[in-house]
Amino acid sequence: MNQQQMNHSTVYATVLHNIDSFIPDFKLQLTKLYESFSETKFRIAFSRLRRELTDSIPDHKNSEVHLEFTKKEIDTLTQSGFPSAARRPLHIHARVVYLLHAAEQLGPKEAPRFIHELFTRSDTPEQCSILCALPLFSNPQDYCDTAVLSTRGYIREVYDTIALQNPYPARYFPDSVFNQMVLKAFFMEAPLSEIVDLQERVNDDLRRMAEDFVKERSAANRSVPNEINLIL
Amino acid sequence: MKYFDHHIHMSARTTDDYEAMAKANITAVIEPAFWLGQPRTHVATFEDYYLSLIGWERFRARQFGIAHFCVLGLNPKEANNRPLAKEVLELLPLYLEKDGVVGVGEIGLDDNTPEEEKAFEEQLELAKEHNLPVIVHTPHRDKIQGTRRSIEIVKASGIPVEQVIIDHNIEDTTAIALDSGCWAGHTIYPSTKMDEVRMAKLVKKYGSERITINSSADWGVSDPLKVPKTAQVMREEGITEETIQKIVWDNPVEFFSQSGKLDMEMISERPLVDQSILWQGNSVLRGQKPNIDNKIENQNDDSA
Repeated sequence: MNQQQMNHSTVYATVLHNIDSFIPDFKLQLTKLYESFSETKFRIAFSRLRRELTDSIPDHKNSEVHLEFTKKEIDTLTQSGFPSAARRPLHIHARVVYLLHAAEQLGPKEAPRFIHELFTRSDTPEQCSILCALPLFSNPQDYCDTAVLSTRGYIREVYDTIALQNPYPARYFPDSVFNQMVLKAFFMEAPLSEIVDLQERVNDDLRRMAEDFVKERSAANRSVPNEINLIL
Repeated sequence: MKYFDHHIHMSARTTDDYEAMAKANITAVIEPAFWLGQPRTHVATFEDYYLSLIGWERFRARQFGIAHFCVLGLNPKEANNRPLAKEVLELLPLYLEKDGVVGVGEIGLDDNTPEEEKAFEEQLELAKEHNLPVIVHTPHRDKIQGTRRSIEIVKASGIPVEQVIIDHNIEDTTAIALDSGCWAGHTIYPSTKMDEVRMAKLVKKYGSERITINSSADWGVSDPLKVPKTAQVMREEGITEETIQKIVWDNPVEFFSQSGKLDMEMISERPLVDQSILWQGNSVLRGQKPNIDNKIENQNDDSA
C-alpha cells in the first residue's frame, strides 16, 4: 500500500466512523448506493446529501452542522492531507467520503474523468467538497485539470478551498499555475500565509510577478499588502 | 416590511437594480428559468444557463444582501423545438436535485401547441418525482382559454393543486386559478399584464389566501420594484398591513417551502452584504469601495 492509498484509507475510516456515530444510518445508505453503482445515481445522491444529512439530525435545521473530532483524529486527517478538516462542516466530510468511495469504484482510469465532469456540473458547496478530496485520491496528480480549473474562478469559497490550507497546489501544480494562484490571493485579499508550502515553491517568476505587482500598486497610489514579503 | 419577489429574472438585470431592490427591502428572490428573447439551439446552452442560476447569479445577489433561489424548467416557447426539448428534459433531473432549486418552472403554455402541452405534462411528472412546487406561465394571447387548459393539464397530471401556482393572472383568470385549488400569482408590469391599482382592487375582492404578486422583471420593459410599489398602493387603498405582509412575504414563503429547500435561516435575516467577494474573475464592483458593513440603506451614493 503506497502513501496515497494509506491516506485515503485513514481519512475514509476516520471520517466515516465519526459520521456514523452521529448519523447511525449513514454507512448503510452508503453501502446501498454502491450496491449498484451508476454515475447518474451517484450525481443525484451527491446533490441530495446535504439536505438528507440536515433532515436526519433532529433539532438541527442549521445546515452547517459540525462533527466532533478528537484532537488526535484531526491530526491524523491533517497529516493525511485533508484540507483544514476541523473547520469543515458535516456535509463536506460526508461528500468527501462519497467521493473517495466513488473513485475507488471507478478505478484510476475512469475516476479523474468522472470527478472532473462532476466538478463542472456542481454548485459551490459541492465543488468545495471535491477540492477537499483531491489530495486524498489515489494518484492525485491525475486530478490536476480539475484543480487548475478551480483556481481560474474567483468564487471566494472555491478559491479558498483550493488555495488555502490545501496541500494539493504545492504538490502537483506546475510553477505557472501555482504562481497565478498565489498572485490572485492579493486580489482576493486571501491570507498568503495559509498557502501550504509557499516558501518551498517560491521561484524566480513568482518573485518577478510580485515585484511588478508592487510597482503597479504603487503607481496607482494603492496600498501593497504586507504579505508580499512572503514572496520577495 | 420585507419583500419576497418570487418571479424575477435577475440575470437580465443590472447591479443598479440589485442596489435599488436592496434599498426597497426586497430580501429574497426566486429566478425561474425562462427564455432569452430568442430561441436557443443547443442543449448545452441550457445547462450553462442552469449553472449560472445556481452559481453566479446566486453569488451576485448575495453581494447586495439578497437571498437568491431559482426554479428550473423548459419554458413553453422553446418546448416547441421537440428534439431540443427532449434533450433538456433529460438534463433537468440532475439540476432539480441541487440545493436552492426550489421548484420547476416556468412551464406551461404560450402558443397553446401540442408540443407545449407535451413538455408541460412531462415536467409536471418531474415535479411529482422530485416533490417540487411548480410555477405555471400563462399565455399572453388567448389567455383565458390557455389558463383553463393549463389547469386541466395540472389536474390530469395528479400533482397536488396546492403545489402549483398559476402565474401572470388578470381579472378574468384569478378566480379560475383560485377555484381550481392552485395558487394565483400576479405579475405587476408597467403597461401589460396587471398594474398596482387593479391589483389592489383584486385583493379587496379576493383577499390574500393563496394570492401572490411578483415583478417578473426581465430584459424587456419591466420594473424590479413592482412588489414594494404595489404594497404601497395597497396601503394607500386601505388594505391592512397583515394582508399585505401575507401577499408579499408569507405566501411565497409558504408556497416554496413545499420544496423543503427554502433555507429559512437564509431568508429570516438579510444575508450579510460582502461585495469584496468575487466570482469567477468578475466582481460586480469595478474599482469602487466595497460595501462590507451590511448597511445597504446607509450606502454612500458615490459608491454606485
